Amino acid sequence: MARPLRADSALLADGGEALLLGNEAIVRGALEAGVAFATGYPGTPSSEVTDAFAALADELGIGFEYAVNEKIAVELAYAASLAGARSLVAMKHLGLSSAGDPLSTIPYMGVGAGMVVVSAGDPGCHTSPNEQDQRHVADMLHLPALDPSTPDEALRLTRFAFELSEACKLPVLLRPTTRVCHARAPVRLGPRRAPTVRGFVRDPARLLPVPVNARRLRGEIEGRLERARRAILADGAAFSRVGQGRLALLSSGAAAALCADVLAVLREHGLARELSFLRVAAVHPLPVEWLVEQLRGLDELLVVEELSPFLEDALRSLTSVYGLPVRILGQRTGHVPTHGELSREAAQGAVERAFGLPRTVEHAPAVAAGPPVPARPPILCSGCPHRAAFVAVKAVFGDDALMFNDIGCYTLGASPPFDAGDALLSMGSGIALAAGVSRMLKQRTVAFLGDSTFFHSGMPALLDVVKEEADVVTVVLDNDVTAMTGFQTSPLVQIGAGKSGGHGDARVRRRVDIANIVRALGVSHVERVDPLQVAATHGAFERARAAKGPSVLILERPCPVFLHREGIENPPVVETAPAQAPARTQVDNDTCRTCGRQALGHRCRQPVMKPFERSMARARSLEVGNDPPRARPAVAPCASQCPLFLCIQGYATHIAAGQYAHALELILDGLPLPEAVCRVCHRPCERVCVRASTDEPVAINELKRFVVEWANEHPTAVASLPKDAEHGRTVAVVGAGPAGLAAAYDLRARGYRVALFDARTEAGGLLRWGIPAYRLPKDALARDLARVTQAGVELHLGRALGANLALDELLAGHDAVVLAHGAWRPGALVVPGEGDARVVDALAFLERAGEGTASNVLVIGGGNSAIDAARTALRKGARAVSVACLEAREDMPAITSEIEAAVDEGVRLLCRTKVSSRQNGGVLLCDVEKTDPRRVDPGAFRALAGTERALPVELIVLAIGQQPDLSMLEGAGLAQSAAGALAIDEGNRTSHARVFAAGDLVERDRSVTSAIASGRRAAWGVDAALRGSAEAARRPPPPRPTIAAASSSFAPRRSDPDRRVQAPLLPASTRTGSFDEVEGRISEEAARREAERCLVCGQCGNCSVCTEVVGCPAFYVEGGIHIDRALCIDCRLCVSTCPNGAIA
Amino acid sequence: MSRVAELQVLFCGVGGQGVLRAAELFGRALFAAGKRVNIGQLHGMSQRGGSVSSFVIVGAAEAALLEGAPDVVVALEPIEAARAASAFGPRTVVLVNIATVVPYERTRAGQGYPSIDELLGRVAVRAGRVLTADLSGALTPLGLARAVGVAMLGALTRQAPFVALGVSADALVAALAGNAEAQRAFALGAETTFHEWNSSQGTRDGLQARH
Repeated sequence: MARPLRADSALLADGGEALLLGNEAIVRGALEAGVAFATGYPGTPSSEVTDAFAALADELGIGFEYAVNEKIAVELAYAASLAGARSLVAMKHLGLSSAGDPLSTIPYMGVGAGMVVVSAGDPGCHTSPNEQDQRHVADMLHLPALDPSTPDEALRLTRFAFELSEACKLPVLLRPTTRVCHARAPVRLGPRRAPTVRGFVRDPARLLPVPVNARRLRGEIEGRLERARRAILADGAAFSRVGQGRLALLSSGAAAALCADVLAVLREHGLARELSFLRVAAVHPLPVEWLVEQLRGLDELLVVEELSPFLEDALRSLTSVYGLPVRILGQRTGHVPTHGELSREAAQGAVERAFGLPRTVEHAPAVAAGPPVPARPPILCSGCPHRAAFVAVKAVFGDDALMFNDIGCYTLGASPPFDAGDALLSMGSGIALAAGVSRMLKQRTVAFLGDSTFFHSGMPALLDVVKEEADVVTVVLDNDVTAMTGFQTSPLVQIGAGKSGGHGDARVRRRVDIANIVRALGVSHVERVDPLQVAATHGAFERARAAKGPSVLILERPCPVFLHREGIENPPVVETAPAQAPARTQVDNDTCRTCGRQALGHRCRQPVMKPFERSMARARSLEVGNDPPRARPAVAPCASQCPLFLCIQGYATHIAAGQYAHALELILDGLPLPEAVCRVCHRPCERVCVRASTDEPVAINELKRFVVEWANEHPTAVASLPKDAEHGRTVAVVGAGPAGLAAAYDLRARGYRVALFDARTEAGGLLRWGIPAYRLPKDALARDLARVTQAGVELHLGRALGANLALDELLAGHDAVVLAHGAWRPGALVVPGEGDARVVDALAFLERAGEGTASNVLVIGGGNSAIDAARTALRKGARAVSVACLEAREDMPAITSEIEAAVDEGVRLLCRTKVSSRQNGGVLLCDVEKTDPRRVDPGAFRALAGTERALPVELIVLAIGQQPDLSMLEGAGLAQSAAGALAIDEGNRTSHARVFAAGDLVERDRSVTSAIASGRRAAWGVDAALRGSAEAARRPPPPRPTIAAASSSFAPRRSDPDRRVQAPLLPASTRTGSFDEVEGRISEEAARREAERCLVCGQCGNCSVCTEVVGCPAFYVEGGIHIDRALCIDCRLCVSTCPNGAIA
Repeated sequence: MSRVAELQVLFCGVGGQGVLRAAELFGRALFAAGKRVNIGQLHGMSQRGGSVSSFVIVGAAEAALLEGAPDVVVALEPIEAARAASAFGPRTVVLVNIATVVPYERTRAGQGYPSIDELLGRVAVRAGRVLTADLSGALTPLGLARAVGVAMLGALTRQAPFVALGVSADALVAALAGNAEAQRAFALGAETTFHEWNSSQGTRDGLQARH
């Protein structure tokens, strides 16, 4: 016999008693009635009816099929009936409404051979969204209806239903409920009858219910119902009475079985002996004559039924018509609950109250106090391949997109952790709900449905989407079967060779192609993908999100539970050599949730956040795909090269997730001057970005700039960073440039009182005086300065060390002094010869914003100051500006994009060029070659003979670097290094115990970012000296970048190559007319797209992707994260999404 | 003894543990031995990690609903024993297999399995006796982990309410239809000593005994 649809062998027994499920008893009853055709659509609690037929039909010569939906099922069964075959059609209560159209006209036309409609009810909504009472449908549509109360009665009533149907020519509704369908109880078997097909009898006046016929046929229905009543009365099996007292209980369906038990228990207690018990299984039409006779002899009648007072009202109506004095109790009188499944206690309580009996129900004391027992709501099975679809859809669409779910396993996508379901209505409804909401709100929506639901009623809905060009992404989660109700076959596949789908060898054959149907319906954007091919799945969702109008994604992978039951091998996701048995999936708790930055003391204060995790998992899926995980560096190369040690992958991931405030928090945590750095950073991070191995480095600074400017527009969104409590210690910081500002800000955060001194009239140092406004606008700088002063730093301007400020004086008034007054002394360059061109130092030139430029300008130097000076000269009216440097263009220290911008503006680059001498009217130049590739100093270059030429120049700007001026510290006794710089230790402490130094004054790397890092290190040094290293370590300084840290064998390639974002630039032709900022910010959309390019190379401790994003129930927490072997089927979705590569 | 329900056994556990199969086996065996049985179940979601329970009523009961407190509870999992506890009574004997299936809800919250003592304390305040054994732990090394429901049936045959029924444990063995693995598991369950769980153990977790 084929699995999964085994039939109980007792169904075929010749007689005697068998232990059958209620649903099986119905099948047996039909077999005893000689049923020749059965069909239906699965739905709990009715499914075992169709499943048993699926298993038996071929063997018994009975026609069977799982119909595409209930409407079609009813039509098929009616057709069989017209063909002269006794037919049965099964569905759950909701299906009856779906089949209402044909079912409402069949009573007019009349059946041929007997036709039974089994519609299983679900009081208490055990597995249904509502608990409608189908008895009202029977009344409305003129269907005789029988309510069995036990499996045994279900058998007998089914057998009788066929006779009844033929007697009255109406389809008969058999309405079992969950407690009958799913009860297994002894059933008395009768003889089976062979199926017969008597043939089709033409009768157009009856079978074509056009209006003229319909009006006549309506009149015939009364007669049919009358015949039904007489048949019920004559048979006598559908009603009964026990006892002759004047007080009675009347019940039907599952409630009748309960009442029988309640009475039995009461009688064991010696109670209710005089109570009569009336059972009525024929709820429509009622056996009126019998009922009137019973009611006439009663004083009081309690009607116990579930869901609605259907019988109670009918009986009240009878008492009115027949003038019966009996007092009727039930739902209308508050004795019986009006909704929900009837419990034993409620039934017994109703009887006791109605008849004034002493209470016999033992009422259990209240449940013991304490936290609730953890719930176990159903969730997608571990190993469900369509979990990958929900992971991807949430990663791509985020939490904002509205999503509509459907009936079946994928209803579970609406539960945590996916929450991918904003509404759920009925079979196939997700598509129309998504379309309707999309139309009203003008936004793209998502609809999910399974393959079975697609056929059931998704196809017409999709046609509507096509017709209206609705902006809807329809996701068909195709698992080959109707899994939720017990793995029934759908039109999609057939198991084995048997026509009905229940027999034969365990092979799955595809019969229908959803993609072809979808295309034929007119959808042009259709993609099919195996959801476990995670990179492809993300890509498909990405394209679907970007598209307009109808998109359909068909995610195809069979249900592994179904395959297991059928003994079919789950198709591998990754092809492995047959000899190589795949290892069981396991978690390495040494790399799980570890952070390389945290290992260096840099604790991440961020909470674990789902959008962040989703972005990380998405990046990992796109990078790893279905390959084995790669060993990842503890710290990403970008962060290891960042002088500030910023968690770049962290803020990129937050940006990709749309969490800009959190991204800013991560930036501000290590960078008090974000406005300046997001514009002028020399980007050592981008030079080591691993993304370059796929296409281009991530535009990291553009991302930072986006977030910083976003924060300016959303000032309230940004939380203030935590600060240590004030402790009264004071520090003086000399120099309000980047290093001094950073040191002052950091010391404030550490609880120090800080006095910041600067020689000039305004703060900012090099940021103000050395960087032109077209790169760093003054208002942006002002915002950075405000951040520092608002933190409580006292600013003292016009105080110059050595002039009106003395180190001794500072030491006397403060616990420590940080020297950060920079390097402003021009480097000495001797250009031989005499000439009439003026010579100025670049910093002096920039400080005056290019005042006094000439028409022909030569800038000597290859760094950022040289490019700044050249571009400033252009903006001040110079007509010809050249930059001469010894280096080749690719070796120039200046930022590449700055060089490019300068060239665009008309600056002439003279690389590998030396100014050999000055002369009147200009200079003589010559070419040079590099003699020692390891050296960068002028001595490494040799002039090439015969290349000399003249260049007319009126102004020479020297941009060859500056040196610290230590003259004002003479006498302080601070030790110097051999190279003549101030000597400092790792905490930036000089040889004086209370004097620290930071920035260009001491650092070899003369960049703004390095200066800020240096200031932060000095602050840490001060703190370690004054409060101790333990306190200081709570805010560790950025470590000095080392080349070793960046070199890693980690070199993945991403599956989605893409160019990096380009920041918008002012047109070159208009730039030189002003000092307006040249580079703009990127858009939010561009920022998110760019952030999504980040490979998130480093390990992250802020993660619960496996349990929170993937949400696989095989994971459990016990110390670390573990996988329950009994649940895991090695689908490896967790492997493809684990950010740290900790699952293998 | 009520004729409506001579013996009521409640089986509870987690989807996939074999709760429904154990109850059906038990009911069928008693039916084959000439008893009138009624097996109740609720499923539809049982494949998907949800709570599952099923019960066998021996006696004249027509309705597939427990009549008062069950006489014996066969709990394949401690949380599920605690969940069902509100239906237990002073005469209920609860057999608990100490094998944990961590609910996803707990894992999501970063929590492990709740305190088994506390869970059993909740059972103990409602039930007459609580008997525990790690049957899953004993079955796993034998490759019989999936047969824990059958093994619990073995244990069930040793309980007084079953013995009082007058049906031989052999009737259950016969119902295993020659399945050697199931028979081994059944025998192991029958031979395993279940330990009485003392309700005072629960009070230290703040749970007060109600009776």
